[in-house]
Amino acid sequence: METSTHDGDGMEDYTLDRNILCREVQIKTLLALFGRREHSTPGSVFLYGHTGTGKTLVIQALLEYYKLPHIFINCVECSSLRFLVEEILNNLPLKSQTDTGGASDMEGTGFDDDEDRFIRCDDLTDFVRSFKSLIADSELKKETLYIVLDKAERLRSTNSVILPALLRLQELSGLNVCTIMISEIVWEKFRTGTGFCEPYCINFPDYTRQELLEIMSVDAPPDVDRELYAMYINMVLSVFHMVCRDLRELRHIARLNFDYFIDPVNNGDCEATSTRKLWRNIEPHLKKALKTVYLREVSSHQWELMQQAELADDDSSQAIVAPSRSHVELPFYSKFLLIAAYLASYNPIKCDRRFFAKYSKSSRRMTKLIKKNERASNHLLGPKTFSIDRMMAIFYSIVEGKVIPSAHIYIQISSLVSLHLLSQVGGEDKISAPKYKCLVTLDVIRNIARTVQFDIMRYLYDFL
Amino acid sequence: MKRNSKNFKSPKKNVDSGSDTELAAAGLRMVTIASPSTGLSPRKRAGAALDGPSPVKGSPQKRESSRLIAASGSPLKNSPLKSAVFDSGQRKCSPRKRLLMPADLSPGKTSPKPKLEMPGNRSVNLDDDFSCKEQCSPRKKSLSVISSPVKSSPRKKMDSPLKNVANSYPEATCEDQLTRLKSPRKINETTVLSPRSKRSWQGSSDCPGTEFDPVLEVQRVLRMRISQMNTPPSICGYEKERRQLYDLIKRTAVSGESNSMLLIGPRGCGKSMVIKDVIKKLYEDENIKQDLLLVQLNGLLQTDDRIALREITRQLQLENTVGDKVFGSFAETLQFLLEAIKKGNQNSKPILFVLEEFDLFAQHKNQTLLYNLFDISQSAQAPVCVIGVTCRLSLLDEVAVKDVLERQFSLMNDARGLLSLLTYPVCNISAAHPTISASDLITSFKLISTDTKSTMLHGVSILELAIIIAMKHLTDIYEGEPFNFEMVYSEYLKFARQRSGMQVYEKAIVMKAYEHLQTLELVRSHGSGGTSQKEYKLMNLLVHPAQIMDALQKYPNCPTEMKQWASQSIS
Repeated sequence: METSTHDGDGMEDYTLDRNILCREVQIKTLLALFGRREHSTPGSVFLYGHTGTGKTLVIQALLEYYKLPHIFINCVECSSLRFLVEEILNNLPLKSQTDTGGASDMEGTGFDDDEDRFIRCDDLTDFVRSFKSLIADSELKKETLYIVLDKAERLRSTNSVILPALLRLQELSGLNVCTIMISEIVWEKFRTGTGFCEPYCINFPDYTRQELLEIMSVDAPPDVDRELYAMYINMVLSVFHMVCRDLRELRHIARLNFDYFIDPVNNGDCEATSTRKLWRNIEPHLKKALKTVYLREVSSHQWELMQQAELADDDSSQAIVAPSRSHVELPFYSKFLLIAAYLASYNPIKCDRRFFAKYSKSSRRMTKLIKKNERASNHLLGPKTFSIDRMMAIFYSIVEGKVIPSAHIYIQISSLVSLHLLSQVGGEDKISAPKYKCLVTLDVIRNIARTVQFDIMRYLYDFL
Repeated sequence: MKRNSKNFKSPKKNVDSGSDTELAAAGLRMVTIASPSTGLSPRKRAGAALDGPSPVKGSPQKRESSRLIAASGSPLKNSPLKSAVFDSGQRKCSPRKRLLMPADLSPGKTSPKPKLEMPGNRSVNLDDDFSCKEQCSPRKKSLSVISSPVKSSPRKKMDSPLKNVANSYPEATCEDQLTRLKSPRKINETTVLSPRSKRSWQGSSDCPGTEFDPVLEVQRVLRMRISQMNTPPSICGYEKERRQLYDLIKRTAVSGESNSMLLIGPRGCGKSMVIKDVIKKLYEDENIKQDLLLVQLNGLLQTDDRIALREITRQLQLENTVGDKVFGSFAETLQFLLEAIKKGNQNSKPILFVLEEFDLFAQHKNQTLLYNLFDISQSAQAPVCVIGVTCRLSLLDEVAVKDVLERQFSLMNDARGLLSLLTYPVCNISAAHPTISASDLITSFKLISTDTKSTMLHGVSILELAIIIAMKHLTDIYEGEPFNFEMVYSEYLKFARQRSGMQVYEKAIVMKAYEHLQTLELVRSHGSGGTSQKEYKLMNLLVHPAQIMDALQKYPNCPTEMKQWASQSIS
């Protein structure tokens, strides 16, 4: 019962059985705010910090370690007011379940026997009333009840009054309740409506590199020397710390690449102490991981398969590892249509003559002069809309051979639209002269152009 | 003092002078009157009240507000003194004149609107002259506001409750008043540092096994004070407001007069506290306690009229409630309620409605509830007193409110800010650390006033920081115009290629960092981006350049190139 009091002799264990590292200050602050079980606490506490800084972990560990009565709710699950309040009411950590029947009677009727005890509630008035009566009947009234709301930024979009009401739940219900909100977003962004009662904000700062090293070293597999693993983590951090400080991501990367690191040691190729050799061995793997896994485009299982394939056969691996995001399979004419659409989107209309007219040598110098003056790059501003006629004109001038303008060609335009490579601008009702916009990026279009041996860079106004 | 009382004896003067300034001056004179027995000028009183922090000297408004700082902070005080204090000078005034006084007082002058600077506006008439006259003549006021039988003998009606008021307030000594005016921080320290409590702490360390642990008790009391459930044992300041409120409710409760009032003031200035206190005091009278029905609504809970009506019927315990459940549709409930109230006469039980977050009620569809409530309070039916509490001044534009608004207070100052400052020090009180020291307060202030965005910037990766700097440059170059990802990326590439030391990341990784900044809401999409691609969606940077530079200073192992790049001005 008196676990949460501190004697102030400085001997308090703020690591909660050594499970949580490097968060002593935050734990100390929280414990001070919580006080003894029967003490009243500040009405609302707001924890903020980057993802993976231990906000949820600390709160959960604290509440469970000291066995404080609490409800933990992830706001992603509770998309509406009704879900949220019913979740709270039905999960109250009541010690005596005897009196809940009376409370459930007053709100709606249970449809079958199992739902008899399920409390229905769809507005805040009912919520506060049921909440009060539930707590008054149980042992909870003697202790502080903690309502933890994870991902609290979601609450902003559910209902305009729910956030202020939860923040001053203590005042509204007159009970010893503490609302704890956890979010990645700073508190200033929450103040939108009226009725706000400022919570007590606690910041969870990001871990320093030293702290990351300390935390990640705990993950060492049981059969591996601690110091060797710490050295490995140091190498991982030296590559990734600049780009990524998310503990979760770093752990994931460390776990994936550890086998490559430890292989030479296990095989006996290399001593566990020769740092330089081990570094030379692992560096390319980590650099590759920086390009692929950090983006999480492939699952870690796929990635392992790819790595194995690469080890088995060095030549063929390049094709598999090539990022799929700039790779599209299309019919022959569709490719040209897409290229034409890209050119129409990113080139100014006045230089079409220069690029695609048969005899345009005389005007070349002039356009170059114009170009120098107005160097606002089209690739910075995004695609412009174009009419279908312009696209078809460009298409006929770049495609090899003679193409009959048939329904066959036009149908391919609509299939490009449905593949989200083009988008139709304006109303769908403009059947006679529809306007389009090209949605693919330069990388994609260059890959496509390469497959049909078309040098697109020569035709782009921005890159002359 | 003589001059002041003379001024009081001729309230007609005020009626004649319609101008704003004179009225304010009149109000101020009355502030001086309020405590002549203490022998302190208002400035001195303000100084005494503030004690620790430097007293605000200067304009009368400021002086008044500083007095309120002391007043609103008082919840932390331990003194059992419960009632407001009248001094002898005031007692000499006739009750009627005294009633006039609070109406003329204007404690806060925050509002930009001239009409709000006048505290006692009985009507929201924009014509100042008219409203002033109305304000200063009680007869006219009751004519304009209350069309009930009361108007026939306003003076008599008002006299009787006021006598009661005067009797019920004990006379306080100068010392009492002085202690009440001490600043909250000081009070807190005196509570903690007083020799008696210090002794008890020593006692506790000597014999820790005793049942009554003074440290725990102090912890309990102090923590109670900083929680939201807190009702202070005594309030100082707001005496006029409290008296006015008390009189108003009492008139409803005792003489069956219908009234309405709106309390306006910024958050945490003590509006609800004043109401709670007044109701508590009213309930000390057994007759009132038996008679007066209390309905408390909160705009945050009663989010629409249907819910509000059900809550009213529930709190009034009307016939259609069984247990806690209310039956009937909205129309039925409304009709039932209205009939129940309307068929009453002056002898039926008075009802007191307290509507907190009043502005939210005004947002309800059609404002059915408000119209009906004010309709009841206007017509001579069962006595009803409607008290609205809000912090929104723009409310005056709402139709339903405009018609009936009687008076507004502008209470200033946020006691909650002080409470949150005290939260951490109070929580840290223990046997080993029994007092709150100045350094505790300083630490707590640092904790509270940290710039949250800078701390968030501290946690982003180097790449994300580089992107933010690129955005800052773009915002500078294009004078606040929005930017898109392609622009940011090309800006980033320009920088990363020039300084060879930096690793150049490919577009997809930069995009991921960019999206992370979006989820942190450090950048926001400009207007409705619509269907355009994410690379070309226009964005605005929400971080101030100063915050960026601040974060760069604190950033661990920040490359010098980055710092140079960030501090570069537009060439």
